[in-house]
Amino acid sequence: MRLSDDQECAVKSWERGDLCVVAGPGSGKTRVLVERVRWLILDRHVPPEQVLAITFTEKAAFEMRTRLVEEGRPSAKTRKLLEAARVSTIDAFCNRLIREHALRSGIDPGFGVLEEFESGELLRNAVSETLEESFSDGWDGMDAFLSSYASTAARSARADPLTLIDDLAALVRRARSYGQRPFLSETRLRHRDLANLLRALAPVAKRPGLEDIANRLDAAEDGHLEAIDDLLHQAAAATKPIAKRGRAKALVTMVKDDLLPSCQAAVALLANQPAREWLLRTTERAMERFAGAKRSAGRMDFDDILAAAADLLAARDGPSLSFRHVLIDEFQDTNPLQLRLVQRLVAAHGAEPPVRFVVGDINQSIYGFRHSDQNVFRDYRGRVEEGGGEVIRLVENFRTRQEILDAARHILPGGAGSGVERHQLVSGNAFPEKERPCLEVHVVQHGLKDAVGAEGEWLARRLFRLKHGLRLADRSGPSLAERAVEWGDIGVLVRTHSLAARLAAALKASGIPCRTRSGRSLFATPEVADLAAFLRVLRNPRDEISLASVLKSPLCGVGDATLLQLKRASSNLAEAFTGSEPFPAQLDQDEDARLRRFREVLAECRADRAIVPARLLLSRAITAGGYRAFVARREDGPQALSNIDRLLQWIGRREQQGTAGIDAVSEALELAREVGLASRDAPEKTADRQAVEVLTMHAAKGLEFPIVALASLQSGARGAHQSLQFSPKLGIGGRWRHARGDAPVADSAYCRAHRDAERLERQESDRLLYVAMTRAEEHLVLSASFAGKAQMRNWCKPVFSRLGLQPKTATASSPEVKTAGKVRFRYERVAGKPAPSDRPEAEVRLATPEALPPRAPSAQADYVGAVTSVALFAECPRRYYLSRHLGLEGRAPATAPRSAPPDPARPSGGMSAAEFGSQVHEYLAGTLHEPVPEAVQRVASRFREHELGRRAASASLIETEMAFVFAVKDRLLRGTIDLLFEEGGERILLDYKTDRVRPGREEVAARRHAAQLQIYAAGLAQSGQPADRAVVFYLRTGRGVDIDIGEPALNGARRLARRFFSAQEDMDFEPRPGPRCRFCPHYQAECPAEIP
Amino acid sequence: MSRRQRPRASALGPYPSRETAVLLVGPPRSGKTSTILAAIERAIHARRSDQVLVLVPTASMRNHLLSLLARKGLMVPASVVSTMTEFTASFTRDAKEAGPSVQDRLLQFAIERAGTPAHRALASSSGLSDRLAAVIRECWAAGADGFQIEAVARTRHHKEFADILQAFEESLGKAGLLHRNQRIAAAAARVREEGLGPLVSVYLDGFDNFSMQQQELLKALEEQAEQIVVAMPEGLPRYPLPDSKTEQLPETAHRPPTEAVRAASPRGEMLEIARRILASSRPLREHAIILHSPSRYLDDLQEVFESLEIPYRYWADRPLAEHPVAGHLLQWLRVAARQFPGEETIEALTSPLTPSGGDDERDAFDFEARMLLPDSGLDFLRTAARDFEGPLNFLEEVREFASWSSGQLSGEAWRNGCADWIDRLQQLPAPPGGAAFRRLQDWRRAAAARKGLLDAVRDTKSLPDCADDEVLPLSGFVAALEQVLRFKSLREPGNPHDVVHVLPTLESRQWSVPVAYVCGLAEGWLPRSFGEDPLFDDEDRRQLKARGIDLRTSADRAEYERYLFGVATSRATERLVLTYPLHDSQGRPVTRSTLLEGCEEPLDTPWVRVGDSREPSLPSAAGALPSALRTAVAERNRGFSVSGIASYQQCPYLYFSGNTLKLRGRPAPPDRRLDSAVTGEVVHASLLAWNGDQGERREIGRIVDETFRAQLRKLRLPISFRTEQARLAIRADLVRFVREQGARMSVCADEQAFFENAQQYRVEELSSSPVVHCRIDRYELDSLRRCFVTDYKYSSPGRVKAMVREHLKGERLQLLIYLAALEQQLRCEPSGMALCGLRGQTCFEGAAVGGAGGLRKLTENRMRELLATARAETAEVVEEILGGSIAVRPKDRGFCARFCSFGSVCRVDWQPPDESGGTG
Ligand code: SF4
Repeated sequence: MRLSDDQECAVKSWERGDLCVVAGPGSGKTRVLVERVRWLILDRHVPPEQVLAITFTEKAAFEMRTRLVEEGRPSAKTRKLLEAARVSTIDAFCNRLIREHALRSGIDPGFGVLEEFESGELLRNAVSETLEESFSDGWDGMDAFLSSYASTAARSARADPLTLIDDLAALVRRARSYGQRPFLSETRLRHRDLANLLRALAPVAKRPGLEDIANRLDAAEDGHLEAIDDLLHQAAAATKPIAKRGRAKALVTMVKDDLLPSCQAAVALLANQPAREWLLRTTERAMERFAGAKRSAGRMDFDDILAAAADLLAARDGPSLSFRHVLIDEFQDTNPLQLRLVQRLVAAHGAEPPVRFVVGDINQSIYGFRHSDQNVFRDYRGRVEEGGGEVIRLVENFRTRQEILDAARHILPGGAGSGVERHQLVSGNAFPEKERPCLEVHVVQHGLKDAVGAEGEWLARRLFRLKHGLRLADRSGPSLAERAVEWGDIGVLVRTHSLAARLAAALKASGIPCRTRSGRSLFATPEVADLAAFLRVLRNPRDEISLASVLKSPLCGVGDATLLQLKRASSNLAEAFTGSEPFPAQLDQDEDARLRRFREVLAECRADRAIVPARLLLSRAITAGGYRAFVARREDGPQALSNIDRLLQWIGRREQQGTAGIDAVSEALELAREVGLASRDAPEKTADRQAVEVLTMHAAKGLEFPIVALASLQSGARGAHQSLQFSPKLGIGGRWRHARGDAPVADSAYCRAHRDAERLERQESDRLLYVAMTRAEEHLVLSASFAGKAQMRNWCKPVFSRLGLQPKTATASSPEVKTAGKVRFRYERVAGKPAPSDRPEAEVRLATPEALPPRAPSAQADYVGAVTSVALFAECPRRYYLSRHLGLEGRAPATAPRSAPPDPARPSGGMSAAEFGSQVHEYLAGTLHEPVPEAVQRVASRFREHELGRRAASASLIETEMAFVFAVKDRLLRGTIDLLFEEGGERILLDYKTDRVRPGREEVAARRHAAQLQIYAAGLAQSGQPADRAVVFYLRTGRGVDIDIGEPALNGARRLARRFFSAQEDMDFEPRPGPRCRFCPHYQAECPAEIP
Repeated sequence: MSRRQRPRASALGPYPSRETAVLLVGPPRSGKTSTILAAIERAIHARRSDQVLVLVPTASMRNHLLSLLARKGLMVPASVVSTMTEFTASFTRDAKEAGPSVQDRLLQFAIERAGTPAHRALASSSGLSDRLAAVIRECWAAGADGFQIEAVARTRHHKEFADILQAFEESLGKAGLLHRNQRIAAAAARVREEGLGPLVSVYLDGFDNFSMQQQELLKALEEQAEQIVVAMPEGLPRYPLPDSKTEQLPETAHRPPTEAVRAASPRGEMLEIARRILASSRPLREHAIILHSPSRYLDDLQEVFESLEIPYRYWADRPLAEHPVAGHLLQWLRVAARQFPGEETIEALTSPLTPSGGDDERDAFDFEARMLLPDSGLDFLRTAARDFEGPLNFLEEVREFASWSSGQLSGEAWRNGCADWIDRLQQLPAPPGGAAFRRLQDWRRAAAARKGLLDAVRDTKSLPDCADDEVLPLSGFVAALEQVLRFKSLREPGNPHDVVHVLPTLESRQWSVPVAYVCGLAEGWLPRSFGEDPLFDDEDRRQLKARGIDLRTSADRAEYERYLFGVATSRATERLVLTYPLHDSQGRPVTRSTLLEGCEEPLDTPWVRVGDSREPSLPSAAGALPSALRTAVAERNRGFSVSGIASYQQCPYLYFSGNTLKLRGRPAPPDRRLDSAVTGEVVHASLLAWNGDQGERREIGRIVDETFRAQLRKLRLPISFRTEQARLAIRADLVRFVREQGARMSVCADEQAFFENAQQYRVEELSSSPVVHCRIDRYELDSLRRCFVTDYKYSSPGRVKAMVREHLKGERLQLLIYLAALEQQLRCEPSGMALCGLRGQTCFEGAAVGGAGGLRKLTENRMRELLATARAETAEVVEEILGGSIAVRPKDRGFCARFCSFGSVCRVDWQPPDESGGTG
């Protein structure tokens, strides 16, 4: 597709100076950005390292990158060039910048990034510790604070310990998001101005009493706050009955709405100075503590990273960046902290700042709750205009039908007081002609309860009709054609997650497949509740509530009757359930079987809980219980399945970051559940076209749908009211208890911040409606519902009044087509619920993933074994299993009692038998270099002096300590031959032993060692160099014993080796008890055997 | 080794070329390794194995080559293949090499000594020392030391770095320690001095770069051996041995068919791979998964493969410190160093690795001890353990440990003591027989970890501040042990035969398998993207290179990444599967890798999930218990309480779990103990005391203070900001109450008032006439025997008003049951009821016959009606309870979320949102 003229103009501006592109919805801003990068690099030959594109969301960065890759597709060279341009979110950019310059900024180069909730937790802890510290320091003004502070969170006007922590933490967060430290501001008490006004008002309003109050106010000294406050109170009472009418209107308004409240607020501020000072001090200390906690953990949160990056760029010897072109997307979403960074980024280029190419649209600024500030963009645009730069407006919209654009313009014309700037949008796309209106307005009136549910049901019916009656533009072919509607073409947008959930439930109940990002935090889902309960049970099953939850969950799946039976059997559920006792006889067989199976799973998981990560234990319980199969059958199966996986991944991440162990993991999970930690939805599957999407308007930003239904226009955003406010201009503000009664009064700073917030909220609400309407391509449904009388609240106000509708009466009316200005729309009012006969048939169910059946569990044999292991196996398979296969040390054998207390001063001298043995071997092989202990020499000389030793000394070929590998069928054996030599035409294989044997008992002892030598001999034979003789040599007695290496013996050895491997496969390691058990470290420990 | 005893056979090595130095270069799988193996095989056959030696970079590669040779039916002397490290070690046995933990510690000292204040502030952060150590290794490998760096330093930062490096090298020198590169250089010198003994031919395989010192060694080998053959892959930036003859091997292997797969997430990739493995008829060992960024995949891989029962082996070591067995020991040492803080010690004590008795006993002990928190120290634990033999006995051992570990000891003593303590503090019982492979591996890993741990304890000896005769406290020893553990790794135990091989890219270099899966072909993952180094950025590196110090730039690294991609994609002989995700595991979108360019367009794969071993069915939630259980219900409900009846009205299941089953959760941690029930109790107790005062009443504030303190003692809570805040709130509320309402507490003329009075209400409507127990905060009887009840609530006025409304509608029964009880017991005339709300504001709300006491007016008839309904309602509730009704039927779902602790038992969340849609 070619660029439109405006787009082209924006892309190819090559003026010196900055550019500002005002890009309305659907005007192809990403395309402009991508084309700009392409044009800069390929046409203007700007080196790609000099191009930086910054976005505010990962989604936007991803889209840009993908499109750049597409652009470069045909040739590897262009692709490489385009890819070298830096496209990054602001967070990622700063993260990298900081890492690359960590050392100069004094930051730990290995710093970790704190997730939002972790940082929140650290902050809360810091606040709580600060408060405790302040308490133990002897209050220090804290009591003054507590007795006057009024928290809005508690229903009472009195502070509650936990809410105070939250309030302070929220305050710190707000201040940080402005990139500021908390501070207090002064205020001037304007009671004399008020007095003047009152005096003027008195004759007009015929209230001579006011005159008197005014005089007393005039006379009141500034410091006498109580007196002034009293007078203000009187003034308020006296002016209350005066109506804002007639001649005095202006005066009355000024008094009642402006000066009087502002004086009261000022009094509140001044009167609570000590409490405010304590508050500031405490907040500062909490922030320090918070910073310290992060520093010592080597972690930073996103705000820290942004701030550190800004500081780094501002530093005198900061890095010099080499970007010549900086492109910024969605500039209207910038918050003050980010703005600071962007400014520094531009300034960090020294004398010649880079060309800025900024794209944004004030009308689409909807992230005020993240403190984004649309003025940033407005100011920038102004400056560009003044500075002679270029401001380009993209008014062509490539998404939406003109009719809908007109409707948006009609409903939200913009202008003073509105959150939306005047705008003009022209559809740049062709659509098939349509007879019927593209805009619909629905009003549902319902009894007192669940109007939203009724709205959902009506909407469902309407959507069915649209699906079957409407045709959409089809641009897949060479010419414009029409196609049928699919469910995936429809998006239902609402204001809040809870509305989305309710509407989705109603749509589903009416048979419409739909998907909703529940908005429910992962940690609030019932799946996670079950699994969290399982973790708690792993910690301690005596926690009956958790155990009962798990037993009832599909992990086990028994009913309440069983719980009661178990509980009857013992005082704690765990006692009846764990252990090996049979379950109460009265239990139903099925239930008994379930309990038994789950008992096994739990026992296994509990036994392993210290050596297996929590994530895996959970996963094992899930598969063993068939938990996934259970949730997959549910309506919201796909979502639930992905929740399970996400939970496992979340736990895995925590474990990687060092939260290891069931206790810690379970605690972290409880915390996450408690704070309702938000988490990102990770789709397991790319969107399919089979379902209607129900989503919040914020989530819909950047999306588009052929058909959009904007539902529940009547509902508003629930503005959370803070107990403490922070305004960048006036600092900390609070609400304070009043001496006279309990009704709290807000101080000036609070009032100011609160007013600002309210105004912003109102304006943003307009923009949100604008954004939502412009998501539609071809058809837009606006719907509202009322429980009882219709009220023109929230979005009903602009929509109904601009369309000239007055849905006051609670009656239904048949649909009609109306016009308002240029806008034609279909209008329908319904009441109650749709008749059941009107219910459409259910259509499609959402696809669920197909299950991969697991393999049958199997054992595994190693493919390499040590010859000594085989020998040990020959002696006692169980001992081999415990000592070698598992690698358990067992206890020290009976000869060395271990009850002796540890003697910390014990010297490390004194060789163990094993050490001694290996020294002797090394010495005989000539590889022992350290000073050789006497004992070693003495033992070794027994061989040297023996006839075999003398023969070895004159051998023609000799190998000592020869490590080797050889294959037995498809397995390998590994061993070390102590000595192999050829002398007098005889090849002799020899193994030294330092075991203690009684003289004369060597033959008996040699039986244990025969297997080992026979295997060596078999190996030698296999490689075509057979030995002629094999000897075990007992060094302590100086005697050698010949071992049979005839063919039958070698065959026996080979069979033994094969048995060794097959025993591993079958996990068959019988104990072979005998007298030597006494020397076995596992005897009476891990091994159940008894000496016969 | 005694090879030197044999006269050196003078013949050319078994490699067929006559050159002294051969560089064997070829693309992957062009047969470089097999060429070398053939030569070795010839040597073994000719019994000249001591004349040949293959040097490889890693131990697993060595084992791999050995097994390849052994599979040819030879008895292969292990000495024919050796790692570079072993080889250099055999020539420098007398040298002492500084291990990584010693280096780290010395580097920290160097930073403290020679670093700037900014450096010093970060000296203890492993981030800084790791970063510096990485650059130092690079410098060393490039043959540069501190003085050389200083000579070429351009900026202040370089200069500062050079200072630290010099200080570090100096301290290594002082300690008589060599670093790895120095050791290789020393080995090179030794080779030149002493020659190679019987060795005739040396082969090197598997290397793709050589440090300066390694190149030096190669030169020495070239001088001393008759032949040296170096096999290297094609396309590398640098090759060693400039004078060698290069033999180029042609590409022989055919390229197997390749498939590209796209999945939603990394986990999705693992599922796709698993699906293919499960569907394939090949043995598992013929599949290999190549992970270029293991950290992104291992967790998912482990979880998916385990769930599907696909055994696999990961061919790389993992950090020992991550293994719980290490964590357990450290946990014990840390709690000991901190004088046994309560909660942590309980956790350590109840870990299954601690031999403190059976699980049942320890679970019970756990709860007992938690109730005593926030106490700490061993004494309180002994109190908690008095009825539990296992924990009690073990605590005796701990006491002994504590007795000697509290002082300062020598490093040697710590090591000995600690090794002994691992023995006593940790038990590692064998798993039950017949365990499946994965479980067996868990235990083998644990056993290996424990051995590693003992090594680590021993290795602390090498740290300068923990040497045998250094005296230090336990905390110092713990720090040393942690330092050592940071660098210890844990090898996967065993060599299972038929498993899927999971290989990091570098490790895969020697492998060739029928089917290979390369995953994570996403931008920034493969190839990985590297930011610039914080110390030497690319510009610096280019300049250093110009001066002969060859440090890699990010372009070099990118080049190397591409080479590694080549390695990864050339392992398969039959089929290659390349996968990439659309999102990372946290749902962020990722772009697919440029390296996939030219591959077939991937198809969307079917949507799969891990299947389970069974299909569970949940018994459908019954509204009532079977009738066979009636007696059981009656047994457990011998009497009723007013609050019980209220909870049944809120939700029958709530009553069932809380009252019939009496489910109890874990003991609340100290900071949760001060809940609304407790504050309510304080309020009631204070009022009772105040009312009970005879004659001169004490000041209510003081009463609150006393009751509050008493309550804290009962809860074992120390006074803190939180408790003080709560106390102040209650105090202010009650002071106000007394001020405002004290005078008019009574409804009637206050003939007689009774406080906290226990009464019973008999449900006569039922044949068994069960009893409802009441505890009436206050009632008054006037001379006409009219009675009025009052209940104090620590609630806000709004809440109180709502409760009164509910009473008047007959929806709430509390006050009405009180009245009925009084009527029944005292034969008096129920005439009025009131609630007194105390929180925030005082309010007094209620209704009375004739509007007595200024309450809302009720007619006598209305009063009687209300009572009649209440009696009937109570009877109905009690009957339903006894009839086994347990329906999950919350009156208000908002209550479920906010106040009910049985939400996970009743599973209300699994029901669709209710009509009112209100979830709070
Ligand atoms: S959570 Fe709700 S439904 Fe469940 S038991 Fe509690 S009150 Fe009843």
